Amino acid sequence: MSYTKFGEFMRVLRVKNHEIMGDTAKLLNCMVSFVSSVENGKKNVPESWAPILIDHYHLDESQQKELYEAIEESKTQVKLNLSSASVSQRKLAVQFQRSFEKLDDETANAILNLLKEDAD
Amino acid sequence: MDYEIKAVCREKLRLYAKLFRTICGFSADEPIDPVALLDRLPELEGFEDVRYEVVCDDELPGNVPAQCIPTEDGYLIQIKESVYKGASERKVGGHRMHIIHEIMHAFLDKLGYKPIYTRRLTKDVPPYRRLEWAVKAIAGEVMMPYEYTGNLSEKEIMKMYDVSSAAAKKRLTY
Repeated sequence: MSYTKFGEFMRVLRVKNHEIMGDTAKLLNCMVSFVSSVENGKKNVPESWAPILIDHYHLDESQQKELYEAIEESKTQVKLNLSSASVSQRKLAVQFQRSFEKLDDETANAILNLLKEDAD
Repeated sequence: MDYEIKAVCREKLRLYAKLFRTICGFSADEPIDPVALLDRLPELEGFEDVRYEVVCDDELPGNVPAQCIPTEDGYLIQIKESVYKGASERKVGGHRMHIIHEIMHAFLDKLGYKPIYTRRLTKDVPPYRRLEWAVKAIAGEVMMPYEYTGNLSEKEIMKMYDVSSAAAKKRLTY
């Protein structure tokens, strides 16, 4: 196992600031085991954490960007709001959910590139 | 749980303890904070594959304060929340020793002190061939360096190295 990108980001921040995970838990007002499970990718990073971390560590613009990217890449669950989606979009979302676990890296990257091209 | 390993004497473990301090960048006599060391592990030579997690107390059996388990890509140290807190708040010296103990499991394994048998140790084996004895011994050597504790009392060792009374007493007997 390895730490998530968020976990690695936090680990480096703590070492630089001579802090330990217990300090992070106090700062975020939660149990150490909860912080640990988030950093190890068992739970999503709560939305309220980023502003607290930015303020506490005085993160500059590029560090803030890095933090948000790390949070994004460490997500264990993604929710989609389908309330205003078209029929085709709904079908795509459901099919994607069904096929997700079987997707190999090559196919995932091909889909990712296709969607990125579309976004650009 | 204990396992039989290749024979190792305390003098050799003492040398390994010095090696460990060198790897970590600690001087020969300074006190070590095992809790702060946990986050530094992936940056230390040879420990890139050692991770840790703090778990709820009920996730590990009652008599297991912490454990080091091999994973497919390294080692995972799991520590009970109460043990981590006891160690980080420096209230319980024994809890700090539990953490360095698990780090030493990974260290000795990397040095080649791996279980000779994959099954549990059941027969009577001398201490110098027992994994748990070796890990306990090196953990004590790392936390309380032999050369710098000879002239200290039990209380002085406890104060200087933040260890329990039991650990300090043990130090004085070797």
